[in-house]
This record gives sequence, C-alpha cells and structure tokens, in this order.
Amino acid sequence: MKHLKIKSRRAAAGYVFISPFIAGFLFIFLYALITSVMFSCSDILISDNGYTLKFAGIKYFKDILLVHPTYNRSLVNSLKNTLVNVPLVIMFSFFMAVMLNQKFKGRSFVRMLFFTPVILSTGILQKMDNFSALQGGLSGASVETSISGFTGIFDLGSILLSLNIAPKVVLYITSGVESIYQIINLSGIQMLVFLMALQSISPSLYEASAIEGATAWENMWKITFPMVSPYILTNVVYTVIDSFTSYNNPVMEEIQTVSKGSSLNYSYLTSMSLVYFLLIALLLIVVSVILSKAVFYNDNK
Amino acid sequence: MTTNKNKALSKKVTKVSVSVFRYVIVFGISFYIVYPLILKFLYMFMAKQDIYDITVVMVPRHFSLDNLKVVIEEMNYFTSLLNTLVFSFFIALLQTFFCFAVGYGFARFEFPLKKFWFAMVMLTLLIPPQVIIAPLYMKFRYFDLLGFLSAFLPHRGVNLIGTPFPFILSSVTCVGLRNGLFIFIIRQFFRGVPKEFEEAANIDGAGFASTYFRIMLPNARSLAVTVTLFAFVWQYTDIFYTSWYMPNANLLSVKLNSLAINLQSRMMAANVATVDSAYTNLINSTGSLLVILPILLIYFVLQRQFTESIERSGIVG
Repeated sequence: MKHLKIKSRRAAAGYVFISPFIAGFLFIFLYALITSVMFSCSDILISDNGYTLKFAGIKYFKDILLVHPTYNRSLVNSLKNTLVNVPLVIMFSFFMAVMLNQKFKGRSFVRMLFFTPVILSTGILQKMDNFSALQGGLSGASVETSISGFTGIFDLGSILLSLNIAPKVVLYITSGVESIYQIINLSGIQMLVFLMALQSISPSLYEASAIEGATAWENMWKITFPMVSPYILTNVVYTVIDSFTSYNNPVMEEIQTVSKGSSLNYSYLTSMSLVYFLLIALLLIVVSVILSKAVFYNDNK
Repeated sequence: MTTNKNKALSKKVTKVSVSVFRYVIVFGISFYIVYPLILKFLYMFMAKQDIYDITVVMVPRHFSLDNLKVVIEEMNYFTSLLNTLVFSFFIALLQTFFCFAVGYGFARFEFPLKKFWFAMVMLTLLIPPQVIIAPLYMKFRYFDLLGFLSAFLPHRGVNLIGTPFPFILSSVTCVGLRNGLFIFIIRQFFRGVPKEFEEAANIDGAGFASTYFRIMLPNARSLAVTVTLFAFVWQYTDIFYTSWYMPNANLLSVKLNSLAINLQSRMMAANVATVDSAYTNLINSTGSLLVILPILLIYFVLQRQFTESIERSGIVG
C-alpha cells in the first residue's frame, strides 16, 4: 500500500516537472499545427477585428502542386540535396568524432575550433553566407568558390577516374569534397552527439577485446559501430530536418517569397509548408524503418 | 630477436604515420573553419577601390576604416549589441530553466503516458517552424487567454507582435527554437545519474523539489552552461522568429538582415552613388563579422565547461 502511494506521488511529481511542456504543447504548438491545417484549406479574410476563415477545400494544395510554376521543381531539388548531403554529413561527423575522441596533443584546442560551426552557421549568419555565395562580385568573397579553387589545383576527379572507379561514384566524391565547407557547417551538432555516444561506451568492452587479441579494425566494426548505431538514427533524423529547414533550401526560398510583403498569403504559406512537412515525414519514416533494422540497442542498461 | 625489433619498429611507424595523418586532417579542416573568418577580417579594412582591383585577392592594398564606420553607424551597432545580449541572455535563461525541469521529469520519473509525451517532444523538434509560424503569428497578433482578455477589451485580443512576449511565452513553455533538442540532451544526461544520489537524498528526507534543486542541478552545472550557450547563440542569431515577432526591433540579426537594403536606399536618397553587389558583399561581410565577434568571444571564455559537459554526459550515458 505504501509502495503504491509513493509510486503515484512520483507520477504526480513527474507530471509537475513536465507541465511547462504540456502547456506549451497544447496551447501553442498543437493549436498552431491544427490551425495551420485549417488555414491551408480556407480563404482567410483579415479585418480589424481579427480574421475569419472560409472553407475552400483543397484548392490551395491543387494550386501549389499543379499551377505554381516552380514549387514542384523546388520540392524535388531539396529532396535531392538532402539525399546527397545526409550520408556525407553522417560519415564526416562520425569520422571526426572518432578522431576527436582519441588522445593527442592540442585536442582541447581542436575541439573548441571544431564546434565553432555550431555557433557560426546558424540563423542570420548562415543566411548571410548563402547570400554572399549567390552574389559573387567581390573576388573570393564567397568562401565556396575560393575553396573549390583550392581543390581544383589537386585534380582528385581524374585520379579517381584513372583508378577505374565508376564515374557516378567519382562525381559524388568530388562534389562532396568541393562542398566540404558546407558539410563542415552542417555537421556540428552531429559531431557532438557522436562524441557523446563514443564516450558512453564502457572501456571494459575494449579491454575484453584486447585480451581476445582483436585488432583496432575489428574493434571499430564489432564494438564502436554497434554501440553508436542508435545515435546514427538520431543524427540522420536531425540532419534531414536541418537540411530541410536551412535557408539555402529551394523550398524554403519559395516559402520566404510567399511570406514577404504584398504577396503575403497565409493559405499559400501554410499549404506549401504542410506539403513540405509531409514530404519530410515520409522520408523520415522510410529512413527510420530502414535504419532501425540495422540499429543495435544495448538493452541490459 | 630481429623479429621483435621489426615488430617494435613497425608499431612505431604506424603510430607516427597515424599521428601525421591526423594532424594533416585536423589542420586542413581547421583551415576551412578559420578561413572565412580571416577573409572577413581582412575585408573589414579594405578600401572600396580595392574591390574593383583584380590584383587584390585577400590582403587590402589601401587600408581604411570606412567599412567599419558605415556598418557601425548603419546598424546602430553598440545599442543593438547591448539589446541583443541582454535579450538573448534572458531568453536563454528561461529556456534552460524550463527545459531542465522537463528533461529531468522525463529522465527520473515514471508516469502514465510518458512515452507519448516524449514522442510529442520529438514532434515539436520534427515539425519545421515554417509550418506553424503563420498561425503562431496570428495567435500573438490577437492574443487571448481562452477568451478571458477579450471580455475586458473593445477589440479582439491583445497585439503582442513587436513585444518580447511571444518569445517569453514560448520559452517558458519549452516550445521555442529547438527546445526539443535541449530536452532530449538534458534527459540523456539525467538518465545516467546514479540512483543512489536520489535514494540518499530521500533517506535524508528531501522532497522532490529539494532533491532536484539541491542535488541534481548543482551536478549538472556544465551541462547548464552548454544549454544556455546554445540557447543564447541561437536566439542571438535567430532571424526567422525575430522577423515575424519583432520585425522592427533594435536587434543585431534584424539590423544585419536589412543592412544592405537600408544602405542602398539611404545612398540612393542622398544621390551619393549606386551600390553594386561587390560593395554590398563587402558591407555584409563586415556586418557579419561584427555580429560574430561577441559570440566568438563568449564561446572562447566558456568553452572549457562546454567540452567538459560533453565528457560528463558521455560518461554517464
């Protein structure tokens, strides 16, 4: 009886602790989400006394998908961007986290430096960066053009081609190398998550495998990789969302134009972003179903 | 004898080559990270005539402080900086405080529907803010507490746009910018704190609140610094929510966003000169650097606790 009482008291305390979120979720987030769905299938009439909605069915969805000149193409493009970027970001951040986890001189300095992109490639700064990349003009103002200048000196592409590697793979690798600046900027949080995951692996596993005489390579695939795999899923999900919501995303640009000045139309805005969200959700479901089969959960914790 | 020597030698060779390889990679990537900052720094002192000189690649030939002067004046820099620092820090503290409570609740208590609520936290992280921004704008434009405020007002709701309240309200309720991520990280951290901590506190007669404030929070200091740093920086650089909620505020992100356009219209009005894209880039790059420098400084001061918290939350996983 007493045990039950403690249990229910703990449950109540738990609810008290998470109550700010519940309030925010119900009154701000969920409300906005539902209203967003309503906006997207209504005409909105704004007056001094607020706004009124007139049901319009799927007119706006039809409009953006069938009539709008560029929305479809932007959707496909941003999907393509994401599919190209996600594996690169995951591989890069995993590799970097493994390296930052080793002991070497100047490690703390390097760590400090490597996490600066988390801080510097957000919000307005990210937007400014893309802006200057688009504008050109000032010689070398856009970092990406000057960096592809560096990689141009060392012709990776033709070296790989002469090694008889399929042209498509070569193209993927070289474009990855050329967009390394972008990849670094996208990888900050993922590196952090992987580093946390790596440090949570108990050293006793490595000790045991050292006794069995395992090599570093075997350790990598038999211990490190399975133990980190749940976080790969986390990171993939985060990367997909991040790349979908960043400013250099074509659909984001469409949405920005709709939400500006005279062309401001809430129905367009919400229906565009809803279709977009459904696409992300679909992609995330597919990815997580595929990945969760490969994920190893250490359940005895 | 010789095989042993060979083995030792090959081990040494591997070790040296691994560390050479590591330094090459680390140096290369550090270069990519630092390079844009160096560029921006050099451009800050570049005179306008150097932009059109193709023989000037990075280092300016004519040194001048004109860019800096124009940008500081146009952005109203020092006032905006102070405003932004105070505002972002305030919002960051609110977000950290409330996200900590929520993260702790998810980590240490068993209650019905826990999985469901945590899934909802993830949902807030998954849905791009663009989906919900229009209704949120409308909500804060005609703000109302369940019809309570309207009863006293001649018109519908209170206009909160242009005030900090939309930010405060969403921070207090943990639905602000990427707050789901904070909750996730904090939960991860507290999940690993040994149970004995809590039991000892319980035996000593501490209630839930005092266990949390006296035992748990002091242990999470470096994580708190990290979360505050994140929240601070993301608020500091945020342009998405700010351009909806406080479009005319004296904040750095707003000023930087409209820097080029403002300059252009002012110069055209004064009939001084036309502003071309190269000059716009120069001004924007100087403006960005001025926005970056304060947060870079803060980051360098706090970075030890930042990396420490990574280790800590890792160990307890």
